[in-house]
Amino acid sequence: MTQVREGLRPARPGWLSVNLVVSTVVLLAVACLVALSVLTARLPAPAQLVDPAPLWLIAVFFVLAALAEVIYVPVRHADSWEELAFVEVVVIWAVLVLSPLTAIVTCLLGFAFTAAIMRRPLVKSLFNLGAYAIAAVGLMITYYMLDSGADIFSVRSVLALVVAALLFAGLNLVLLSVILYAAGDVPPREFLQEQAGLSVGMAVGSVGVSTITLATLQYTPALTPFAALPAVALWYAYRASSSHAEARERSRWLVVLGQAVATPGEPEDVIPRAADALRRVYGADEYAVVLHSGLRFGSHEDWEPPSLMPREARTLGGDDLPPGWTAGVAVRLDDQSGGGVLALGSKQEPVWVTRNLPWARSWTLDDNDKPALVALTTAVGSSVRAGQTLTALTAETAKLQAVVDHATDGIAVVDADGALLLWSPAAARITGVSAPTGEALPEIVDRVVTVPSGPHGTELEYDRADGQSLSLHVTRVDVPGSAAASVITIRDMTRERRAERMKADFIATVSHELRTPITPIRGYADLLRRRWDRMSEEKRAQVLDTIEERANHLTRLVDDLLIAARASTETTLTVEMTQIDVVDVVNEAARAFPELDGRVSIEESAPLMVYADRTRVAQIVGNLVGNALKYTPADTPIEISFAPGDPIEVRVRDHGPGIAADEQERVFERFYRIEDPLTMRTGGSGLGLHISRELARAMGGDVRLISSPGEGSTFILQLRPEGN
Amino acid sequence: MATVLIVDDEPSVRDLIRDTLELEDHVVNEAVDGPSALEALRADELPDLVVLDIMMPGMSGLDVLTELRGQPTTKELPVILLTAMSDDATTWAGWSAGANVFLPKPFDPGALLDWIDRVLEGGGEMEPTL
Repeated sequence: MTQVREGLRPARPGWLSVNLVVSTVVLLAVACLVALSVLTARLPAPAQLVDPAPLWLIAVFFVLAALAEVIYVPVRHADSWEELAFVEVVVIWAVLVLSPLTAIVTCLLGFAFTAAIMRRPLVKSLFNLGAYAIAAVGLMITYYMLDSGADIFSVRSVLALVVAALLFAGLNLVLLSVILYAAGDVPPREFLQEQAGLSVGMAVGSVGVSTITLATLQYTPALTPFAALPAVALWYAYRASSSHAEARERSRWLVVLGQAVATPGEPEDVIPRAADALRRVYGADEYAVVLHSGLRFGSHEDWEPPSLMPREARTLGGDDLPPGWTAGVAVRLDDQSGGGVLALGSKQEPVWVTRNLPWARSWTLDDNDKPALVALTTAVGSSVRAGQTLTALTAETAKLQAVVDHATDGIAVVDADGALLLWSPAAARITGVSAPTGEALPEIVDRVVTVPSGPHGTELEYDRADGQSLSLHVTRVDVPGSAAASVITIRDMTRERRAERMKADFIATVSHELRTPITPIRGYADLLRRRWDRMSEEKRAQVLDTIEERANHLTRLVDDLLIAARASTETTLTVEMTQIDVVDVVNEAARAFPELDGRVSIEESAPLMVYADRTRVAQIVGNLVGNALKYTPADTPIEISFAPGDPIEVRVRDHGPGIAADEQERVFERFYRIEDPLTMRTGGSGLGLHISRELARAMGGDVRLISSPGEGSTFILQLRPEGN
Repeated sequence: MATVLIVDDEPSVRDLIRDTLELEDHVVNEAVDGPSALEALRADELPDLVVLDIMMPGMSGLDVLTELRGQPTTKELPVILLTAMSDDATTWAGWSAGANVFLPKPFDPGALLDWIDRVLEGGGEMEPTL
């Protein structure tokens, strides 16, 4: 016979709860007993009944029932336990010997007595008693209906008993499946399929044991002890069933443990899952883990674990047990996984009656199982260590990924065979070639990854698809023995190289512009000193005019350089602001260019008062007109116009070659020259437009450019109007 | 007395060289840029010497000199290079192109006359100094 002993868990959500099942079973049991009392009066009683039974006989059955509850084989179903006991044998004996109500009540009292002294929870005891009552009433009514009532050992009577016992086992099994399902972890169909064969065997075996014992008592009392042999066989059948169930559960939880171990993670994640799976593998009720790091899991409470040797599994006792535990085994956790102790055990309290019975002890671990427990615990430690390594690796990878993703320099990595392993976002941005796929590498990628290794790097010139010419500095570092055989960095040096060229061009230009006027000044001074007497008066005057004009030119050039230098170091240039008529200033500045006669047209305009520095406005206009003169063919007109408003604009328009869009801002840059200094068509320092814009901005205005290649350029001087 | 072709885009420098040479009775011709200099040197009558500026619009003096050294008629024509750029790269480029003398601006007119005399006397290969 089976019953639920322990492990019932809180009911799962839904209408089916443990309490509902137990309540229903108890009510049904009461109803069955009432029905039995009514029905048995109308059914023919078997001839062998002892009715009324003497008190000693009732006492014997009470004791037998109580003992039948004590001698059992526990069978695990998930976290619930089924007990295989000799209850059925006692019930059948009672049914065959005692009157119905006497038999059932005596057995139930015996069972209840055992439940009480073994301190079984009330809910479980009520369920077991209710299930016994229902099944026993079913057995009794069936037997009374099918039995002939004559000879207890007749075929009909034995068959009736077998059918009744099968019904007893079936009812008990169904009720058990319902309560296990309500407890939440055993599917009814699976349970019924697994247990049906065993229940049939138990029922038939119980009938055999019962009838043989009675027959032996009646006909050969001396052989009665041998009647116990079938009971021994039944006992071993129970044990085999128990082992089977144990193996099944162990396999199931080994799979769960395997999954927990195979999924590396943080100790907080892996250890509780693995320890719980280990607990279930070994059928323990509790687990506790205490790590050296201070982490604790399971029912550890304030447990101070004992000191264990590596790979030692020690059965705990006394003060070594975690508080509240009655039995346990501790295993040392691998130091590399953080170190600590894992314990499995139970809090179940053995009662005095069964304290020394081997099958009734609280949880134990066979010595043969300890090596496996050590090995599995080592696997848990390895999983934790792998998890920690993976976590560190993930963090490290994230850092490296951030470096690769956000570095301003491009990064490429190739393996020993030259296959591209990495092409960073910056590499794609710089080259305009996204991460290559497939065998053939784009031309620039191939050039980059095949540069020679060395600390100084290689300069690559590259025309990007968008038309930009780039100067790349590519450095390759070989890492022998690494999967990343070579690490290549790509730095876009275009701006730096351009700045270097601009600087070199500026030095060349300024050198040329300063030395050129000095040449006639110094040369003519030397000539006058050495050949004064051979030079005519007219020639001497002409030479002195040249010296003066070149000296003035040099002065203006030095002024420009000083303004440019101040503009780069001071927040604003110093200007003397007054109200001036810009129309008048423009006309005066234009008259300084005699070659403008016939080419220039200045729009007639009423005076336009601006708030500005007169000298600087004239200088800017001179620069703009001078630029127009230099860069336009001699037969093309230059038009100067005015636009009132805020700001007031002076527009100098030429019909020269125009300036490309990407050059239009750069012509205002300091040191910037479009032309090669060796062959540039125009003189000057190249600072004119830069200085003009800086001066205009110092006066609160600006210089802007509107231009298209082939359509000439318009430079616009913007100034603040009067009173603003 | 020698015939000298001055090639420089800067009028005041051309005037200085012209005045310097004419005071010493040399005959002076002028060109304002590279193409006009090459045009003048394609004539039947070549000058005895060319004073050539490097930085000129459109065509540099180095380009002009390279062109001259590529022509059989002007291959040996003495050339004094003038330049306001005296950096190493430009100096080396001047010597590489085949200049007889490399004279940085501003120059001393007396030194120019000395070099002209030395070149015309056939001793005028100036050792490159960098």
